[in-house]
Amino acid sequence: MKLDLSALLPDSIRPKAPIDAALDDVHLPGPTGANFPLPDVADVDSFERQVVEMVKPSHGTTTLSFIFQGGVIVAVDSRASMGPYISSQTVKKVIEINPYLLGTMAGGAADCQFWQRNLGIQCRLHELNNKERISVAGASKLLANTLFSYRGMGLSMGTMVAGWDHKGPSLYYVDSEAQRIKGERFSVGSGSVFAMGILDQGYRWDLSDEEARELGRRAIYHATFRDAMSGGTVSVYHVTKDGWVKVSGDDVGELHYHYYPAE
Amino acid sequence: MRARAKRRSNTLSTLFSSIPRSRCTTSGKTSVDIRSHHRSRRCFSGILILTLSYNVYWQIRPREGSQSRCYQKLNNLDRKMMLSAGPQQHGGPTQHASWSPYDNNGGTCVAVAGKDYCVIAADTRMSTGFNILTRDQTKVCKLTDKCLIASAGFRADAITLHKTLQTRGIMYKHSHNKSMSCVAMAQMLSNTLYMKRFFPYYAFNLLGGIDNEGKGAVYTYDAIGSYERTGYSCQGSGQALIMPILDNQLKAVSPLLVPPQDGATPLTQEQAVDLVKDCFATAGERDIYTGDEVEIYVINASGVHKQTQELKLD
Amino acid sequence: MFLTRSEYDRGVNTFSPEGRLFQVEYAIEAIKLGSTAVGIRTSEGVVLAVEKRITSPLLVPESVEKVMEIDEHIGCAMSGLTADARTLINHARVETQNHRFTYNEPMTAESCTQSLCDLALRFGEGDDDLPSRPFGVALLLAGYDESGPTLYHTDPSGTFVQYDAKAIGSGSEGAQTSLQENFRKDMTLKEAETLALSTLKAVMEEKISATNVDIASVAPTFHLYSVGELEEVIGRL
Repeated sequence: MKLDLSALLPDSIRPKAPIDAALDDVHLPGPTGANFPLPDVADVDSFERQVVEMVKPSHGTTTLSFIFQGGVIVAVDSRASMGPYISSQTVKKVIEINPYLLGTMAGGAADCQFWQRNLGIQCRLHELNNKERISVAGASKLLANTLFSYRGMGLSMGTMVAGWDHKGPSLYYVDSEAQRIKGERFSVGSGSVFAMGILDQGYRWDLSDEEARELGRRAIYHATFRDAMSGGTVSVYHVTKDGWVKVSGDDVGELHYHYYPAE
Repeated sequence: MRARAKRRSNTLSTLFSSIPRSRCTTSGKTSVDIRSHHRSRRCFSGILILTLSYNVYWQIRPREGSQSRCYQKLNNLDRKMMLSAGPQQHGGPTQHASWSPYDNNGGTCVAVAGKDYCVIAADTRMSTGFNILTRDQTKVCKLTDKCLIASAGFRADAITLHKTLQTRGIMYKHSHNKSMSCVAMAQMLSNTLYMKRFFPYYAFNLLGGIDNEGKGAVYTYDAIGSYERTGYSCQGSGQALIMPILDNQLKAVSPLLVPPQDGATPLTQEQAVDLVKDCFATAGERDIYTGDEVEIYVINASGVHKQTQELKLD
Repeated sequence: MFLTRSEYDRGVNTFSPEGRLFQVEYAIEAIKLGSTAVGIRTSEGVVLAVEKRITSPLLVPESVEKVMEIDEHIGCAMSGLTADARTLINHARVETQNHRFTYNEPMTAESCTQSLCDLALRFGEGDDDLPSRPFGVALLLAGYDESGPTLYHTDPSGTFVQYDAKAIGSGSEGAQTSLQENFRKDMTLKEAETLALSTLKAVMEEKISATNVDIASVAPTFHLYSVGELEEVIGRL
């Protein structure tokens, strides 16, 4: 049973009524994704499962993020696979919501791209209306609220919202079950078990900036080494009080010789 | 043969477009409505459906293998028409659980971007199962003067999608007094695909064109709108055959590297066209869904130019 | 023969026999009661300057907001019923963000103005979601897009026109004359700041100070001047 909470949403993001059924295909998609047509089938759930089977949306990831004394580190790989086929080695899995906020992408690529762009404009409208940047807690809550309204519909997202606000560095995990957890250390995706092992082993609060960046890079590299669904390029971002910077992007092939130098 | 093939493809597309597309405004709430609605109606017409499908099954039984599967599909569609004419139908036809709104018509699309040009190409074969429906069905559609789309997958969905994009392109031109840029079209295509997240277009798209700086651009999509700008890409039934060739010949450096490295395709326009022709000839040797003819479009500062190349007909 | 004006000026959607919509015309009159706002376009960017009426020494000047940001590249000055302007501006903000979301590009200032004017005409009786009367506010929209700097003026009738320099509000007649005399096509942004403020100064009743005017520029992004920057411009007068 689903509740319609659209009345609680601010006017700007409330779904609009379709102008005219005849014009439906021409109706421009709004930021809210207001009109998602459903198939006219007896069992929507099994239809959605079959669609996933046929369409094979892009999947697979290792992402991680952690807070330490110098801010937040976000590190990701760049592979997307459709079943056993590698559909891309150059996916941008860190979504730059604004200069102080980053989102990571695990699960369905389209779901993450669409809803984090949607989050981006919600954050921008918040900024215009309130004359200050939205907090990380606020941004992650907006995303969680959006995802809550699509719970059980088959979205697949595991995302981390990381950033710096008036309270300092902050990190939240939000997923398509609308779970939202505040924490200082997360890893999401098919390779997360491997990344988390390295991360837990090497993590200290008082890591230096360089040590922290290297820890993120190393953890993702080792995940790509053991997880077939992860690979490509390891990107590392660092969020400080001045906003985020991308500190490195290295091809996994090159990193291999860095970590395992030839005799 | 050809006439029959045409007719069948028409049946497929008309039926598909007759499916009511938006019964709901807020997805969450209505999903409940639809499901409960169907549950009650299913009991009512359940016996009839069973009888009918049993008849249909025996009629087509002499055919074997996937050909019979293909006929089954067609008959499922006919059955749907029969049911929708019945007196028990109100507010849209109910689909049998095994009914599928999708077919895969095969075919391959390739696009390569260069410094100041973009090549986008697709073969013209359209198949269903092991049958070739037609040897002359274009997969490429011109959206603006600087932007073309090529789609593999289900032809009916691709046609609907192309029409929708063309219409939106025209509406954009009317309301903003300028032609839609390739970058804008790319984002809009992504959103358009995602708007049908729960009932996707079964189409795998490539968008090729010239961006605002005059550089060649290729955008590659999954069926529900995840997209990426790349230097080259391939979609459709020949993807797994052609993509490795392109990787081998053109392997571009990742745009994610820090410090960034220049990743433009080093080929000249003529070399790129030759490469694309080779790709299709090669894929035609090993992919049953690729063949007949390849249409190659080159987009550059002087406009859109089309050429074709014969492929094997077997 | 013709009925008097008073019988045709109540319904918002009833034309008079002369072909006039009185309520819309009255809404345009309402702007002439508003505070003065000036916009000037130069090749470097657009300057917007507004008068803030500080009616009481107890009023907090910062709470009077008459220049607002719509998007990074579009700013807006208003005169008339500011509450109506807020509805319009909120609409414009959502529209510009929607455009970015759909097309991955900023909305042009003209399209943004057009979408505001579409809303300005969507009044009437009956539909609960729409306002029942015209918006009693005029806007100056300053934009910087692919066609360069632009300045648009909108009024309650939903008409919009492009200007090099425009004044709206109670002092608009005098201010427009002075703009006509002093505007040059080759002005710098700095000269435009001075001209905008000196034009305002001439029509304002109170003495000009950093608390009773606001300046913003769009060159190429929106920037609302701080008190320090304002004092610097006032010092140049």
